[in-house]
Amino acid sequence: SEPRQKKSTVANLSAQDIQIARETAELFKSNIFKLQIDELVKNLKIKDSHIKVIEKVLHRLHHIIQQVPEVENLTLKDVESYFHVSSNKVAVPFPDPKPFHPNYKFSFLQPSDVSLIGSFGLKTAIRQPEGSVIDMSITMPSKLFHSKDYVNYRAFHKRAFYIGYLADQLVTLSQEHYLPIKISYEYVNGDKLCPAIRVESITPDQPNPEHLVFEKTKFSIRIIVGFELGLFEGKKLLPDKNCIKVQSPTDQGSKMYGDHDSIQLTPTPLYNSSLLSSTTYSHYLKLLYTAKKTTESFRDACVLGKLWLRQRGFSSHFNEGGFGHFEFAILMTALLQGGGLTSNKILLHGFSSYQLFKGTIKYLATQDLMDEGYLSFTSAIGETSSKYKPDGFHVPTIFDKNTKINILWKTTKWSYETLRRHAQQTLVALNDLVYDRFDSVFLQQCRTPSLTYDLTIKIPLAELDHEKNFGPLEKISFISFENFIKSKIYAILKRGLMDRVTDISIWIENLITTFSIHKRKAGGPSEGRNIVIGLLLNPLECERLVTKGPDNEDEVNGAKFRQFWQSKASLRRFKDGTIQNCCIWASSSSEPVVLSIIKFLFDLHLSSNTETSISSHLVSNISEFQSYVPLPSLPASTKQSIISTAAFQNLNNSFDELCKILYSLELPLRIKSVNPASPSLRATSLLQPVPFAVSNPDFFNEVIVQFESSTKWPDELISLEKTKSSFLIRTLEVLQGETNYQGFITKDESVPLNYAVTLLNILTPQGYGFRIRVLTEHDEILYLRAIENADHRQRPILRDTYLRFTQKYIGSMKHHRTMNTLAFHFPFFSPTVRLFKRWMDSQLLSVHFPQEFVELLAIKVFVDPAPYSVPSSVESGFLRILQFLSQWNWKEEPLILDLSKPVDDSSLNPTTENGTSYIDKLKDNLDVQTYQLINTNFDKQRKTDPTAMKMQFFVGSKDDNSGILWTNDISLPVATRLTSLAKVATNLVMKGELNHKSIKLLFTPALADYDFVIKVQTEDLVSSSGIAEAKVFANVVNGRTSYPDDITSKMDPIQWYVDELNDKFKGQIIFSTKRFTSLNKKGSNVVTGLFNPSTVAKRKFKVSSAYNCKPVEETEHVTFNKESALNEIVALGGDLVVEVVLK
Amino acid sequence: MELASVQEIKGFVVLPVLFHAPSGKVPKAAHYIYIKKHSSKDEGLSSRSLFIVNIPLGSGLATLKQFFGKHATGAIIESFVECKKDSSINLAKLTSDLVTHKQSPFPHLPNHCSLITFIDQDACDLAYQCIKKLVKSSRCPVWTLADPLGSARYRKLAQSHILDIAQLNRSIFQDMSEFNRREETSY
Repeated sequence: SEPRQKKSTVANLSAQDIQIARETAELFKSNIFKLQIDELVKNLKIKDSHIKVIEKVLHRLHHIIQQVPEVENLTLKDVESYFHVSSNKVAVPFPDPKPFHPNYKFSFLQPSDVSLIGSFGLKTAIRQPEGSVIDMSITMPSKLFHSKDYVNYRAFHKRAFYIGYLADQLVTLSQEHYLPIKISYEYVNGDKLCPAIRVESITPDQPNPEHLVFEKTKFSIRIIVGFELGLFEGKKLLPDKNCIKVQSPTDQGSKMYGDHDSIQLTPTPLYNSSLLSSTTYSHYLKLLYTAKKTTESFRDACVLGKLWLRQRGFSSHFNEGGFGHFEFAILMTALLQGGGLTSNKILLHGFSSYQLFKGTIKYLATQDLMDEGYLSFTSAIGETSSKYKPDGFHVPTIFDKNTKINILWKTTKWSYETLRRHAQQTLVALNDLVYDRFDSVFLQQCRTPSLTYDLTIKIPLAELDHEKNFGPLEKISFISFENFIKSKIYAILKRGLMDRVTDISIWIENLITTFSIHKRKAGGPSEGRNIVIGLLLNPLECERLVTKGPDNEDEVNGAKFRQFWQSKASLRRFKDGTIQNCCIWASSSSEPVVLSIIKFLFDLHLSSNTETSISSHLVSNISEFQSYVPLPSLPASTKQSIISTAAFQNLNNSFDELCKILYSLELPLRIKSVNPASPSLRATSLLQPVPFAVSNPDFFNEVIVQFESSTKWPDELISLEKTKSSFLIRTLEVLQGETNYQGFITKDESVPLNYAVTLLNILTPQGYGFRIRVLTEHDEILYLRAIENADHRQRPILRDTYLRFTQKYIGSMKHHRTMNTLAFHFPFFSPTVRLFKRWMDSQLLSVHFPQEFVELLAIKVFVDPAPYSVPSSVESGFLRILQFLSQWNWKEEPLILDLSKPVDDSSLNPTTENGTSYIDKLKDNLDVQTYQLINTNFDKQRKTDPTAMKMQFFVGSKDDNSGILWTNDISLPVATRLTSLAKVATNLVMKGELNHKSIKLLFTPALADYDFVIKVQTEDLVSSSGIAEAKVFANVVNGRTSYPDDITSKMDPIQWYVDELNDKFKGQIIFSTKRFTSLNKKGSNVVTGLFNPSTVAKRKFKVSSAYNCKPVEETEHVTFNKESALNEIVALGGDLVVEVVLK
Repeated sequence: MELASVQEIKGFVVLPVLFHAPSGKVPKAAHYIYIKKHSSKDEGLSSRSLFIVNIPLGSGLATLKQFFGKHATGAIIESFVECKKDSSINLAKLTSDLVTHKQSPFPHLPNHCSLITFIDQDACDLAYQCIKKLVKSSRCPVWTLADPLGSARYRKLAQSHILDIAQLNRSIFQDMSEFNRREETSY
């Protein structure tokens, strides 16, 4: 298969080879991609059988159109009466404002041209699950128009009649010609000035062999009515010209704006471009066809571009960024002509499809076509003039000098910025030397809002006042209310949020694309329709509490600032002595600062009066998700930002104090290093550390201590362990004698067979717990020696012992160091991983997975976010982890993580990719050799365990080449359950069904799936775990101020119970529970059991048979005694067991 | 409730017992304990110990004393040890040539097995005979768990992890002197 082929290619190349290949012609990447691209393009090809059917349909439709009778010079009244008497009840799709006493006539004459345009015409159409649309262009003959028809909607109105008449005739004629179809209207790419006819196949009630039904092809046909090229003078329709006369909003009386250019009139760019575009349908098809003829791979590159855009939710539609297949293809054509600063060619005709695609992406990523400059080209066939010109128009621009159209007229500022961001990310991905990014570039879709954006906000359209600000001038500039309000919201957000956001997207949800031919226009009730805002946040700025404005001296801008912010604006003196205008915000645990700002601004600028506030109608799931991240029972915890790590910092301070003391202790050997290995010390523990909260399962923070090296450590493992114990006792004695620290020694069973391990538990005066284990330079050697000396029967057991030692003593330390650095680098990692841990726990999974593994899963979406960007909210982070888990085919794919500290984003800017600093900065990153080594380890692992029975998840990184350090102890049913739960959750997200109820469901375990459920209860552990109780007032904190006399009295017995059961019934029953009983009400919890189906099988009686067997009649066989096991389980649980529910 | 009629399997006496505890939360069921006289190189131990497979969870010395007190009066138990997983592997021995006899504190028993040692051979014989009688009589004696269960059990377990410093010190001292002695003699 392709991936295997690719892997062997990588194996034969060294990093240097690759570098050379990359620098010369990018052959390496092209070759890998070529195989994948060929396969992809092949898969996307439309079936030949479908094409045959559809060609027949198109011929018949063409024939029908030719049968439409001509009519001429109808007055508006004639038109009205014609449609009134027609039995088809068709309405003329006149755009707003509809004609009123026009001094022109309406006619239908046979079109001067009928042709196929769009991707079907160009043969770049791809198979799409939802079906494809074929665009058929019909050109109205020019004699139907006067030269002045470009003003005041005249041409549009004439066309609307033409379309209405054609639709009416099609209804009748299609029946006569056995083409059973359903006809509706549709705005071409959401342009309300440009209605078209959508033709879809239906199965007739009384079928006839003559009927031509094409439902199965999933094709529909869109009949677009255009004008002849050059019908109107292009110069008069330039984007800055006004073509709609309108009454002055200030003087509704007799004064009219003149028709001459000397008066500054509001430009009508959308109107002008729409009109001009309608003259160019076949013209651009010819241009693209020529490009296709001269460039062999043009077609394939178009397919790649189309797919890339589609996965990112882009199309030519107003509501989908206004940049689709057509715009991509035109851009490529312009870049084949030139496109550089000196008209130099960006793309060459001999390029492969990959090179054409990458070149175009690179151009989008690196050239600013909005503010810094624009691309100017000509569509005149035979001419080549294409140049990047400095000084942009502050709107995205690819200007065709020939037709005077800005190709990007439907692309808004914000969608252009989003497009550029995607292009930049894709370019980084295409330049990746280590990972294969094919999937994230072409195959993964990233248009599900709650996965793509950090923050998604919906506003019901019905709540927005249509009248306010949408006056006559706005109407001619924006054509539709939707265009206007989106633009207004963008302006408010851009100005109000500044660098708190990195991307703003605005669109209308569930936009109605087609409408009945019995209606003049689309729309109707806006109930149930929302305007959606998707934001990407800047993690370093989004929770900032101050919005800084201009200095006090800057009066003009100061006034503007105060005008914009009104009551929020204030003057403040800052530390550096400056006095500045600013706004101060309050942080909160339930809501991001950005959301508070948006609510304030929308109420201020979008509400029509003070009584109705828009903010109360805003819908966002962010607070819902944040509410699942537990709060510490510390003062003012509800007023802290979700990214606040204050509670973790207190713990770290206490740790630093302890370190100082440990380093200064007078011991036979001095302490050389004190290494933390604890989730709470790296801000990844589900519960935040709270002093004296001893019921928190993570209360004791593991610390690994190394003494200065000595040759005196015993050369025998158990005696070595005893010597360590004696050091720990000595440390405890000195601590207790000289400081106010308390402590005790516990035995530790985390390394099997080594029964002599002891740990020093320290309770600090600040209320925190630390648990010290000692590592010496001899440990590892001795464990390895034990394996060497063991017989073949003992070896696997000893290997397991060694692995557990490595986990506990070395791996945990490395993991901590790496995660700590990354948690500091990604402000949203800590709350995200904690939310994910909450989810794991509510699904009864956390008892089965080491925290290190859970953290590695969570960091995946931060260090390797493609095709998204690094998450900057708990919602996007959490949902992407679930999505990753739902897609990870762990049987066949390893997870290989680059855990080096990421270089900052500015240096990842592709413009500097050739600079040495870029390469230098990447030198700590995972290199090809390591990547390949880990891959090989995975292959080896799977060779011995192809069905993933023994080991499921393989997670390799620089810290762990083996890939199995944290995952060798997970069982197949548990692994499968994690994946299937993630799939259920992701399905919900993909369907866009997230709300209060469904999010609650995400965090509710599906207990019906288990063979039995034991409801258990212990004492209430909420306050002794340091969790803020929901209903306690913010200023009342019932935390403890001292340790309990017996620390074991506050431990959760349910965890010990489940540990014992899992140990005794290993291989027969899998027990699950919530590790955090304290997150439930009144100490309640559940213990669930899942029987291993193979245990019921009969087997010969052996003394070492698995636990609890009963004899099978008259044989020497036994079988698992389920009934008795249940009795034992319940008996053992004693007072903890409340109720047992059997399946 | 039906009982299995098998009374012996591979030299083990099969004793069905009935739990006293669950109080109607789950249907009652018989549990089968497999018992045999212990055979070991250690003759002193061998003659007065019973080797038990599948002893019910939560059964400690108190439970056993109560059971034998009721069904084999006079069979006084000296000790009860449960097996520890893979206890036959001795890390000390595997990492040093000097160790010849150092044992882990757990007997070499397979998983899920335990050893009851009686005060003398007579007591052991008595216990064994009584069990055999019980099996023959087809009665299903009640197995009452007399050791702490539920929260008390786990609190005790947690407490048992906290080591007594003086005792730990003594054991370290003993072990280290032994280690040093071995090292010295090896030179």
